[in-house]
Amino acid sequence: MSTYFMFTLKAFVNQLAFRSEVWLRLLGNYFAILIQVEIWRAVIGNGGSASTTVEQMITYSILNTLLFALLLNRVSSKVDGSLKSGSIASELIKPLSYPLYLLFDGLGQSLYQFIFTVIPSLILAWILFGMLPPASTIHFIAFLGALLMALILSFLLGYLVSLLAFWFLSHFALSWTLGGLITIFSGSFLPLWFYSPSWAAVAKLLPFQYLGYVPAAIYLGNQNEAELWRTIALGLIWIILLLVVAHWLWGKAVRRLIVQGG
Amino acid sequence: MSIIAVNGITKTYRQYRRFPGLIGSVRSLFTRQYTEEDAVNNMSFTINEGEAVGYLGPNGAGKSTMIKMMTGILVPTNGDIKVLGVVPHEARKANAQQIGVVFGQRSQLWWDLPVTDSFDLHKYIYKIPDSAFRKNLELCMSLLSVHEFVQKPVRQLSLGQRMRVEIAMALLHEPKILFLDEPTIGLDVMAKDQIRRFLRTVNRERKVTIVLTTHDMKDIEEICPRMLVVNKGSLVYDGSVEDLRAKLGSERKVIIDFRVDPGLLDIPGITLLQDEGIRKTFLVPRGESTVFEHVSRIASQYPVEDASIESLDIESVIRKLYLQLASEEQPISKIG
Amino acid sequence: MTLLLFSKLVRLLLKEKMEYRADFVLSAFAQIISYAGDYIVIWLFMKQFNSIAGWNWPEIALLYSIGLFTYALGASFSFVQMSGLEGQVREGTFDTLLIKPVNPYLYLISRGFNLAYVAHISISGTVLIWAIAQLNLQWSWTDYVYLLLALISGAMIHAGLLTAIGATTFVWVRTGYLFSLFFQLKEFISYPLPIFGTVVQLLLTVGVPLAFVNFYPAAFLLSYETSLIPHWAKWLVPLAGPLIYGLGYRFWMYGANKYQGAGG
Repeated sequence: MSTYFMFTLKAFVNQLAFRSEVWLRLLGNYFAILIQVEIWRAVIGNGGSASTTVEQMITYSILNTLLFALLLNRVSSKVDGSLKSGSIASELIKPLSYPLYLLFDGLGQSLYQFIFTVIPSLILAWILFGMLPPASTIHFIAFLGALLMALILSFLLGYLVSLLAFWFLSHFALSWTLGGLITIFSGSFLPLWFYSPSWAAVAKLLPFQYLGYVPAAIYLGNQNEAELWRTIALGLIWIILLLVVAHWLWGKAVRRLIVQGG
Repeated sequence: MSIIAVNGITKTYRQYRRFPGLIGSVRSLFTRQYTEEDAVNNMSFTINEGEAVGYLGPNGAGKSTMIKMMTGILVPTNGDIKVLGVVPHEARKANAQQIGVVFGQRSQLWWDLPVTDSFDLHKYIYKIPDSAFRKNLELCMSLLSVHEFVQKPVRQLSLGQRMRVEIAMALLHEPKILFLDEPTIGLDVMAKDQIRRFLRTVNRERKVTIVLTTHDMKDIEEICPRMLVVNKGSLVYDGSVEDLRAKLGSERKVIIDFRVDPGLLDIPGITLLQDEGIRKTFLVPRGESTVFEHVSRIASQYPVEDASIESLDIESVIRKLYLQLASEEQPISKIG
Repeated sequence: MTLLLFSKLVRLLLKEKMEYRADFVLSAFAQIISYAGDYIVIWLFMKQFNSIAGWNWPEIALLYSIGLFTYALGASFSFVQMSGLEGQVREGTFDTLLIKPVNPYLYLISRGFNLAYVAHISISGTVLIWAIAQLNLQWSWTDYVYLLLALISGAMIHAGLLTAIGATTFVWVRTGYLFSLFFQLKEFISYPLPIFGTVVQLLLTVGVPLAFVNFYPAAFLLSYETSLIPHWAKWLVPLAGPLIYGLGYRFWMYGANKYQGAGG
């Protein structure tokens, strides 16, 4: 296992080379949060609507903007790069698990983002826009669990796309499609409770909600304990399901690579 | 008539120093410290119409900088440069119309399309009349045997085929001068040979002036009667290959095949270059005793099967020139 | 650089794309899905809240579509070309542009002319037409002319800004982060300008004049209040495009000259 943590460390150190862009990311996050804050102020107003206050929506927006920076969304482009350059072959000969290598490499980048982007942005946003505390201790713990699930699911989705690219050869089209699905069903801008009932019902069955809506909604205490457990259980089912599919596809992909010689 | 006139050209590059850290990067927005380095230093030469000139020097000697100034890509820091009577960077487009340029490692072809499409586009860029285009295309294609792969996408061509296409394309608009930056780099012997023969034909028969940079001395020997040798931005030799050899290559290479390996030989005045057991190669200076005297002295002491005498190849001559330059520089760099 | 040469280039680019036909179609389809996602979320949002700063759903759709349409049009002549410049300068392929008897800027943008934006254009164009029909506007022909001019101007604003960012390559070498800043700023103009504070409004009007892309034209066409630009200046708004594009081009040529002087 320590080998894989080395990949995390290496990815982290690699990112340090882009230190000069830290301030820019901070500015970018500030813009992104500012846009959402102004939108919610415009539509909800200072009085607040029946169910949701502006403060809640500001917190929701901050959490989602920063969560997005943490997600492992570079997996498929990394695999695509080594497929195109042909270095995938040498990655596969190494005596280690390629998927695990990808995961820990991605975690390294997320760790970097967490320290250099998320924490400073969080402090900045808290000072400039204000943030609500988590609804309760239970909700906060569940929120941390949901964050972990978001990381894992984002990795699995990106990984699946990269495996499908073995057949379609167009990672570009697949990742744009995945991006579109995430935009529609993650609820990262518009919380699912604002969706019309039929759209909300669909979104609540899909795994994309865990990349946006679920962690923030849990943090705000929008789900009571029974709902909380149901959400987490469904998330785990999705993780297991995607793991099984990924494992199966991976076997086929490797065989395809060997047969076709890359 | 001189077609290229370079007069006191200097090109100075500025190397900006970056300040470390965040405060440093903010600071470098306002103040910039830099060091200056002359890639080309007060260089002068002329090239006449119809010449074929090899431009050579060690890495970092300022070869491609000079080519870039002659083709109008870069502006010289100081001095005058005239190509076909105009200043290249001032009349960049007019100059471009009159010259052909081949960069050995930077393809100008369309990777995914058949070769013909790149040729076709070239015709539009250079506004070549139909009849001239067809005539030139036919000539270049047959001389370089491009026909066999002209319908293939460029990505499927070998490096040698691609280079042949690049050179053919650079000649379609009937340039007066052809600049080639390392045209044979990375090619196999056959491909190199074909390109050299073609360039010689283009130069001798179509009277296209050729300026080429290379690391391969064979290119110079076979194409260029004249060579310009540069080192650290300055011209150190301008003349023919033969003259340089006469000046520096007073030694002969002697290869002797012995019947049995005589072991280590120590003959005063002779240097052992290569020892392959029964075959030994010596470097023999021409001085008080002739080469033949040396050989017969060895033959009288050891059983010799065969002996051959060769003059130094150009590669060794150039190496010697560089070594000589390096040793001359020593005292200068101590002062500087 | 003649029109003849440009049409020849476009024909070759098409042919090149057709080498990977399936890939091209799939990618275009995927991009349409992705932008449909953006539209769907905004639609769901408007369904819940009915209006934002007084603008209803078809009006917001109009605003957003002008932004996307003009971006696609402008970016097809600038984005890939300008973001790729960094690599071209580093690898020296930029030099091969300077040995051709053509304007290097015009050649660069035509050679890189990006047909892939056909996806953006079809979805934003469709929604734009839908929104105009839906709004049931009593437009005279001058309004249509105004919209057309605004679309051209908007494309030129995008292209001009991207060109100016590309020009910094000649000075700074690493420019990737400036492009991401541009895209982040572009997010602002997906919504009516008045929801933002004065500072942001000023920034987008005077600093990085993205508000001229879609907000001002749409506000004039839909008769909304535009606090920073008086009503008599309505017809001056489409001049922003040529002005910014001209400045961007000048800056780029200045950068290219500097490159020739400094030698990268």
